[in-house]
Order: sequence, then C-alpha cells, then structure tokens
Amino acid sequence: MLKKLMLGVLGVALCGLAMAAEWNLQPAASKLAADIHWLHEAVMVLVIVLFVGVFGFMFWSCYAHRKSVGHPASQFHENTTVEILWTVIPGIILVAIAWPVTKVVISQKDTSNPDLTIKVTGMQWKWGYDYLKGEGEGISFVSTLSTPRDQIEGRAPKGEHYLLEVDNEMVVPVGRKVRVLTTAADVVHSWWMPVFGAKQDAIPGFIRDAWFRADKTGTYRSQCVELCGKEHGFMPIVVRVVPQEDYSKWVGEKKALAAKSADDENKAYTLDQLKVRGEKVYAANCVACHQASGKGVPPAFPPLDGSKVVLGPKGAQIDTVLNGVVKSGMPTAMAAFGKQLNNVELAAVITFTRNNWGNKTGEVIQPADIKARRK
Amino acid sequence: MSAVVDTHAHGHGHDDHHGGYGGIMRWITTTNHKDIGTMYLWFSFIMFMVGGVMALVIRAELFSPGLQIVDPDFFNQMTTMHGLIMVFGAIMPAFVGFANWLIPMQIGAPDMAFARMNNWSFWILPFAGALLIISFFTPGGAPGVGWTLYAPLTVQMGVGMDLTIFAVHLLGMSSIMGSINIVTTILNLRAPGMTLMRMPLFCWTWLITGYLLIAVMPVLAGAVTMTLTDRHFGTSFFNAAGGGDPVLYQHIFWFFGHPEVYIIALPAFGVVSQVIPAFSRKPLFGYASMVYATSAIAILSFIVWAHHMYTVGMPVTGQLFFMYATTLIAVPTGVKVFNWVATMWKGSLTFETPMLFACGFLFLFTLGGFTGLVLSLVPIDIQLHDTYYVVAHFHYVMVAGALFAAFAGVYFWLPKWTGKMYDEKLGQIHFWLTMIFFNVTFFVQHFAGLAGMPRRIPDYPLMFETWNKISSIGAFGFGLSQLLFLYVVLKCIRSGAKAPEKPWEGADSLEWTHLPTPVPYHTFDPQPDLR
Amino acid sequence: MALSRNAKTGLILASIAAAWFFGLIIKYWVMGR
Repeated sequence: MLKKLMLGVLGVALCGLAMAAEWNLQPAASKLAADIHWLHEAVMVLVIVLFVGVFGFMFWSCYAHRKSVGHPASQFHENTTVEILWTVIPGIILVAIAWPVTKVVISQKDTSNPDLTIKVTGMQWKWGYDYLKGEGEGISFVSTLSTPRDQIEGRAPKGEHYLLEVDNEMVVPVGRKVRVLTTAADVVHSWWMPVFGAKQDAIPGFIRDAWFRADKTGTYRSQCVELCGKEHGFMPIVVRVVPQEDYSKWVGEKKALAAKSADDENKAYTLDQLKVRGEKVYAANCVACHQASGKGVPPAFPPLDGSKVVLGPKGAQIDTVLNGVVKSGMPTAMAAFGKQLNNVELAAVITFTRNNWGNKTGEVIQPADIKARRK
Repeated sequence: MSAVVDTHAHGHGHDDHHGGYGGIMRWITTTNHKDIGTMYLWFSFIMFMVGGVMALVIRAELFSPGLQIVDPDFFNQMTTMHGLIMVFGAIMPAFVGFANWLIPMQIGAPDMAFARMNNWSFWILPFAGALLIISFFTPGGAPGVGWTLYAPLTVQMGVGMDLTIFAVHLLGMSSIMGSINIVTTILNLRAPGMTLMRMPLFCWTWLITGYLLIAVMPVLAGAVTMTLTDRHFGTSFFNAAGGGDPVLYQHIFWFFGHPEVYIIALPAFGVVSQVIPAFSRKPLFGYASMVYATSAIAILSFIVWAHHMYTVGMPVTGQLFFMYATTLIAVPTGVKVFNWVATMWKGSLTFETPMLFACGFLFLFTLGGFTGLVLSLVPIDIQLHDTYYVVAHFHYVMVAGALFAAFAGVYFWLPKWTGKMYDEKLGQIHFWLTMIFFNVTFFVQHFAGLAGMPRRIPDYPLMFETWNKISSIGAFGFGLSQLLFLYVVLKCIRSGAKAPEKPWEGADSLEWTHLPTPVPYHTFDPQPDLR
Repeated sequence: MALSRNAKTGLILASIAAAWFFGLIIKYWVMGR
C-alpha cells in the first residue's frame, strides 16, 4: 500500500518535472507540435512501465536469489509458453502504438493548400528567405546571426538571446498554414522550428517541403540542425508570429525598403560612406573566415590584407565575391555573395577591403561597377 | 558433455616457444590467435584513450557557452575523429580481439582457419589509425564532417579527407578479412561433437556478425570511394549540379551504418550471454530463442536504415515503412533482455566485477533501447533528430552497452588468459565509478536534446548551460576512471594472485572445462572428440 | 588446383564482399550516365 502511494507520488513529481522548462520538448505553438508532445508523453509512460516491470524482476532477483543468502540455483532453461507470450505481447503493444503515430505522420506530411509559401535556402552560414506565394509575395532577404563576435569570444557579456538572434526575422501571420520549401546553396543544412514541430533538411539542388500553422503569436527561436561546416552552430532561425494586421503592415514596410534599396544602387557614394557601410557588411559576412585582422586562416581561408586579388584589378575581386569560389564543380565556403547581398553592400565591402588594414588603394567601387559585372 | 581434459602442453616443451622469434618480431610475425587477440585488445585500449582525449576536448569546450578553448573548425575535427576512432579503432577491434582469443578455444579448434591472414587483419589497423592521426597535421587538418562523412560537405575538405578515406578502406579490409576468417573457422573447424546448436552463444553472435560485416563493409567502402571520385575524378554521384543526389550518399552510408551498430552490439550480447549464466550458476535461458532472436535482429537490420533519414524529405510511405520495420526490431531485442533476466531468475547469484558490468549492461543497454524506440517514431524523431537526444541514445547503447560488455569480458577472461586474478576490490571500484560517471555524463544529454540543443555545435544558447556543465563534469570523471582499469589490468598481469584452475564456479564453455589456467600457447591440437 | 575446404569457404565469402562493393559502384555509375 505504502509502496503504491510512493510510486504514485513519484509519478506525479516526475510529470511535474517533465513539464518544467529544459527537461522536455519546447512548449507547443501549433497543434502538430502539441500532438507530438502527447505522443511523446504516451510513449514515455509505456516505456517507464515496461522498464520498471522488467527491472523490478531483475532487482528482485539480485536481492533474493543471491548465493550469499543461500539461494540454490534452479536449472530450468526453457519455457515455451512464457517465451511465446513475451514475443507476442510486445508485438501487440507495438501495433497499438502504430495507429495514433501513423495519423500524426500523415498529417505532418500534408503540405497541401497553404495560405503562404516561403522558400528557405540554407547557405554557409545563414538562411535566405523568399516569400513565393500569398501575401508578401516577392519579399526576399537574408537572415544572419546578429550576436556580436565579442560575446562569442568572451570579451562582452552574453545577451539574453545569445546565438538565437538574427538581423532579419522571418515573419508570418498567426493561424495561417505556412508551407516552407527548403533547399540549399552548398551543403546539406536543416531548418527546424521545434515549437511548430517542423524540421526539414535543406538539400542543395533539391526542393523539399514542410508546413506549420502557428496558433500563438510570439517570437520563436531555433538553430540549423545538420552539420554544415565551421559555423554550423552560428546560423539561427527566428520566426516572429504576428496578428494578421501587423503582418500586412510588415509586408508593406519590407516592400518599401526593397524599392528604396534599388534606388540607392544608382547613386554614387564617397569613400568614407562605403568604408563605414563596408565594415558592417564585413563583420556580418566575412569576419568568421577572413578574421577581423584580415589575416584569414591560411590555407583554408586566405588573408585579404596584402592579398593580390584585393590589391589587383577590381574586376577579378568583384567576380570572386559575386560568384564565389568553386572547386571540382562544388561550392566552397567562399559563397557566391552576389546571391545574398545587394550591389550597395557588395560595393561597400569590396571598397572596405581595398582601403583597410595594410591595403591603401584609395579606390572606390560603386554599386554600378558591381551591377556591370553581374551576369 | 564428455570431459577430456587437456591438462598438459602436449609434452613438447619447445612448441611453446612462440614461432621461434623473440621480442618485437614475435608480435609482428605471429599467426597465433591468442597473440593476435592480445594485440587487438591492447590496440583497442590505446585507441579508446586517444578517442577519449578527443571527447574530453569536446566536453571541455562545451562546459560553458562561448568559444574558449578551440575554434569551431578544430571542434568539428575532434567530433569527427572521436567518432571514427571510437567506432573503428576502439570498440570493433575490442570484440575482434575477443573473437580471436575465444572462438578457437570455445569450439575446440587449434587456431583460426586463416592464421596468416589473421596477422594481416591486425597489422593493417595501426597503419589505418596512424593515417587518421596524421590527417590532423595536413593543411586544413582532419576532416570536420562528423563520423558519418556526409556529402557534399566532404567535398569541401582538404587532403585530410583523402587520408581518412584511405584509412576507412584499410579498416574495412581488416574487418572483411577478419570476418571471413571467423565465419570459416566457425563453419569448418568445430571439433567433432561441437554442433552449431551446442556452441556457446558468443560464437553464434560472431558467426552472425561475420556475415553482417561481409555484407556491409564493402558498401561503406563504396560510399567513401564515390566520395573520393566526386572530390578528385569529376564524378557527380552526390552533386546535384552534375545529376547526382546528396541523399544517395546517406542511403548508401546508412545501409552500412545501421547493420554496423548491430555489428557492434551482437558480440557484446555474446559476451554477456557467457557471463550472466556463469555468475547465476544456471544455464542460459532459451538458448534456441537467443539464436533465432539474434538472427532476426541481423536480418531486420538490413531493412531499417532510413530511420536515420526521416527528415531528408522522403515520401510518407517511406517514413511509415521504415518506422514499422524499426519498431519490429524491439521484439527480438526484448526477447533477449527477457532471456537474460530469466537466466538470473532463481539462480544462485554472485556479483564479482564481470557480473557487475554485465548487469550494468543489461540495465543501461535496455534504457538505451527504449530511447531508440522513442526515436523510431517519426513525429517524435522529427523533433529529436540531430539533437543531443540522439547522442545520449547511442552512447547508452554503445558505451553502457558494448563497452560495459567488453569490460565484463576482460575481467571474466583475464584469469584464463594470464593465469592470474585481478584485484577484485579495485575492479568493483572501477565498475561503480564508471557506472556513476557514465550516467552523469549522458543521462542529462536526453534533456538537452529534448530542450532543443542540436548536435555537433561548439557553442550553444544559454538555456543549455546547466546540462552541458553536468555532462562535462561527468565526462572527466568517466575518463579518469578508465585509468583505474589500466592499472587493474597491468597489476593483474604483473603481480596478480595465481588463479585457481576454475576461477568462476558457473563457467561451462570449453575454455573453462577442457583447458588449464592459464591456457597454453597452443591448444586443442589435436582436436578433442566431444561426441 | 586443389583447394582446401577452408579456402573454398573463404573464397565464397570474399566474393560476396566483392560483389557488394563493385556491384554498388557499377550500378550507380551506370545509372548516372
């Protein structure tokens, strides 16, 4: 009686513990994620019952069947009935689990009739988002880790959303079915939102899909979840779920910004303007490999300070930055930044490299120069 | 079982001299299964230490959020090499070492079927291990791609990747030659009267494992060869731009990879199936079922590989098929666990160190098996794939599973191999330290994974800090505890108390009943008649 | 050439291994052409 009571208390305590943060799956923000929670809890109960049952026998045996308490060894080594039972009963249990699980599998794969379709491109080491269909169609941006290098390297205290913050968040309206198409520009990445129960590998050259319908507003954070090279741990995913009206407002703002940036491409900038902007672009895109000192990490990541490419004719450097470096037909970590950055950003970062550290070319690269070399 | 006890060393004193060589040449030229078994076991322990140091580098970096000790590139190299060295350099050679030592003795054979090829099977390993270590010193370092070597990330790596590919080829050849040897020995060299269904279960598990190795090591070789040609010879097996598919690599790799984990587990099951009956003083429960269950596991292991790939985007029918097939494996595995418990039930149990490790295996391997069941379910796996939950799962089955079984086997057979007893008190301390620190290290990783911590990251968001700190402390404790094991083994070899003829009352396979302790250099020559 | 029983067993097993390896590579190479 007492044993039952204690087990009951233990069970309740464990359930309470299970609900605590960091012991269990993240709280669900979609029905699918809630279904997965339920499945996991049911399977855990089953597993704990089986485990306690089987090891109850084993521990009892360790206690009562010891030679030191004088227990003599029986010699039985077969029992057909028992063996059949413990083969068939687990089989039945598995079939019983299969049905509710199958329903969730099928539901998780059903990406039909979305309200909004967003293409997600995994790149080394950031995400690109293209709103393809539905309200917001045409919006396109790159989402990069915004935690400063200082925090990572221990020179500044870590912020609350350390490693889980980006410059441009993916924004979606609450309650709408969002279909996420995944692909990649170089190697296999994987896009994951635990609160929505959506994870899909991003495979270069192929398009896969997943879906989610957020049922709560909020900002949700996660990370790339397939080893993709050096900075795999530094390409987070942030999705901000907002009410419908706020979403429409965001769409309007994003489109206006895109139009403005196209305008800016035709301007001519001063050396100082480009250097200032270029330093920011460098910090967000180049510093991980080429280092803040511009010395790189040879031979994998060549130095820019004193580099023949940076100090030579501008055409060669622009081409390298626009098109990336390809080896044996495969992309390297030097990505084709022409796909990720606009002409103003590219002009700025190239001008910065040509006029920083020991490089003093005095040259100014304008957005028009970049535009001219794009194929 | 007739008892023809081979108590003397055939009267030919000089036959006991090892092949005529002394010193280092003895070891280089030996074709004796006992010598080769010993070399495998020592090599495996050295690799275990090397891989262990890499694990400690990983856990040291992960102690706190932020990058303190290594840069992300080197961290990835550590992760990759830790995996390759532990799987191919430590755990697999350990069980091949057991196979070499025990199979001929347990079936009444004088040596392995191909004694000279046996020598090569071993000596390839130090070369392969050296290649892996040398890759660290090449430009670009060792590959930082994870032990699974996924394409197309592997195409971006420097020449260290090519050294690794070559090492994998060598390791594969060693395994294939070893398995051909083991299967041929078991099929052809059993003494008269030693029928297949009379063999110790350890021999059965190796017979089945041998077939698995022959079937899947060539597939791994194929996968890394295709990676090599994609890197250097213009093929596009895994490159979409050339008409290929990165996911093809994953299919080929995991077709090897899943049977591989059973290749590691089945011999461990075999060892435990010798140890538990011995210390229960009771025969193994359900011998025939154990043989059938092991065969079922091996056959099923060929049709479940894509449960490592639920998130690649395969059609729902594919996910469902692989899920159903994977959950099926729980049935024969459960049968084995029940049979081990039933062996103990109503026995007369003592808990010397081998039995402690065997019981630890039973308890913790089953726990790992249950988290495997959780992972087999697609919707749950979608949340847990590539997180620390998976890391916890496989360390439970491979460390608390296979490694504990290996420890059980070493403590069990040391008296037979050396003629000396190890220090029982120290052995028990080694067990308890290992047991406690193992769980401190890996149990909390389940929670980190559930909470969302991805694998293979050198730095992490703040919410994972507590679990990582606990895990890192456990890891250092676990690593240090293994130095005690080394001490126990060395102390036994150098100055252990003389072992009695039958140190373990309940042990009943041929090496215990028909051979003296320690066993002579040559045994069962001529073969005994056991009919 | 007279082969021992062991050698025959060994050769059968080795050809299984070889068949898997070469078969795999040839299959995917032919498929990709």
